[in-house]
Amino acid sequence: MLDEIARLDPVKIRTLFDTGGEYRRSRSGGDFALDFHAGLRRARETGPVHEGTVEQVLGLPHPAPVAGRALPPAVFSVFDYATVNAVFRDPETFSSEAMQSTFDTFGRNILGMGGAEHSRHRAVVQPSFNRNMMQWWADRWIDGITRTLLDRIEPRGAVDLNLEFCALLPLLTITGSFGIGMDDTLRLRELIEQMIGATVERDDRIAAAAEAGEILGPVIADRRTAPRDDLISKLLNETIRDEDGTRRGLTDAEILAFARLILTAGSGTTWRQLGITLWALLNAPDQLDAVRRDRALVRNAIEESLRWEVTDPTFYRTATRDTELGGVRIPAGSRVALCLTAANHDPARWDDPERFDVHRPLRPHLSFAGGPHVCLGMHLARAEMSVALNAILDRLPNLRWAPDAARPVLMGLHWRGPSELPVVFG
Amino acid sequence: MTDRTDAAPAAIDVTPETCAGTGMCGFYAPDTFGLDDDGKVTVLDERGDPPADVRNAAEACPTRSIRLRP
Repeated sequence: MLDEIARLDPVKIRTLFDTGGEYRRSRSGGDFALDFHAGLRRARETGPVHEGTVEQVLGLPHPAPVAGRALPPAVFSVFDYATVNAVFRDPETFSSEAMQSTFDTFGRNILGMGGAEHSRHRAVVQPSFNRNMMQWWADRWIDGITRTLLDRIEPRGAVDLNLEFCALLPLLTITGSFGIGMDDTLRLRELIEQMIGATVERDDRIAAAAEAGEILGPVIADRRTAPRDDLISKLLNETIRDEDGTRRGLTDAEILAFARLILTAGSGTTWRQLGITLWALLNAPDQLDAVRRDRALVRNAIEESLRWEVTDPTFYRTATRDTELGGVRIPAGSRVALCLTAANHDPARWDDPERFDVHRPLRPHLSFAGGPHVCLGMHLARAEMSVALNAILDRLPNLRWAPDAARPVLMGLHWRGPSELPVVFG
Repeated sequence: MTDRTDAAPAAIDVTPETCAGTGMCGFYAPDTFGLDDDGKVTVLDERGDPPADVRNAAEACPTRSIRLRP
């Protein structure tokens, strides 16, 4: 795979990974390029719970992206840390039913499961994503892919890091862990866009999921007979405890649903969050310098980036009974939008919360959500970003914005990230 | 901002039965919390990390399976 990465055609990369184009295509707020923090601050101060979607509360024309299967009777939005945290930790009152909209494309998966079913399925995949597995991920994929991508970049002195590094590392790590080649990886990148694209019709999303299944199905079949040291083989080796207590191996359909989930959840998110981290550091050269000199701060820089500007700002839950949040009555069946960005900027928890500061003492944030559905891939995302930042600081000295390029902005309302990262070094 | 004490907790109670094995605690306090062979939380060393890190771990636990006694 590393040979194929070294030979990747830059034009093809730009065609497949151009976020500027992706943002411009999206009708659900991808083209959103305003600073929305002022609106979030107002919403928290005047709420922290409001009736309406986050978009409606902010006075934006964009529709909310997650429609779910049936239109909820009412929608409420939450903007403070304590309430968002409490909702995540009360899955009996606030279910993940809205995420069942992913069942059509991925197949039945942990995002939309609840209670005991969720626990049983999560327990099967959790071990491969535990902290003690991160060396396995780094040794087999993250380190080599990072090195090979920087080999391409290092001699040039100037590059768009967003496109030629941040976009590629997370996707290649996931497809590398599936043991699939570059042609299939690039085709899967297109299919991911179709599976989750806001402007794609339902039939086309389902067709893209089916084609992804045609690529992944033979891999699963192959590993059943000839296991390798990869993620699919590990999952085939795990057993799930059924409701009646018996243990069995995973079915092809279960592995396929999980593979589609981590392809989509693990590629775009880490791409954009790594981009946000670099964007923040490039805008604060003194902090970039501090991190370069003291690598213990790499961890702080990543956590501060997650807190300060999380790439997926809003998650959704459904009220399973009549309840109340922040003094607002929430009828059963209501959709509740949880604004992680606003929660992570709550002055009740962080001093001067809108300032990016790598020297800030760590405190848990909500950027990987919380409660039983907390992000499965959080340790992997952190490991990828940590390896990437250290390698970039080692190999691209005097890293700074390209003097002739326009300063890029953060874009996107539901998937935030920099439009590009034009840098020079050396 | 909420004030936080620097004092170490008197004791750490964990509940492996409710633990989901996400390893969130080990991220904040790696020398205090680990996972056993069943992937459930276990205390490695009650004084393994600075008190603030242990408090972060307890606070971040997604299933409230870590309790600190003051």
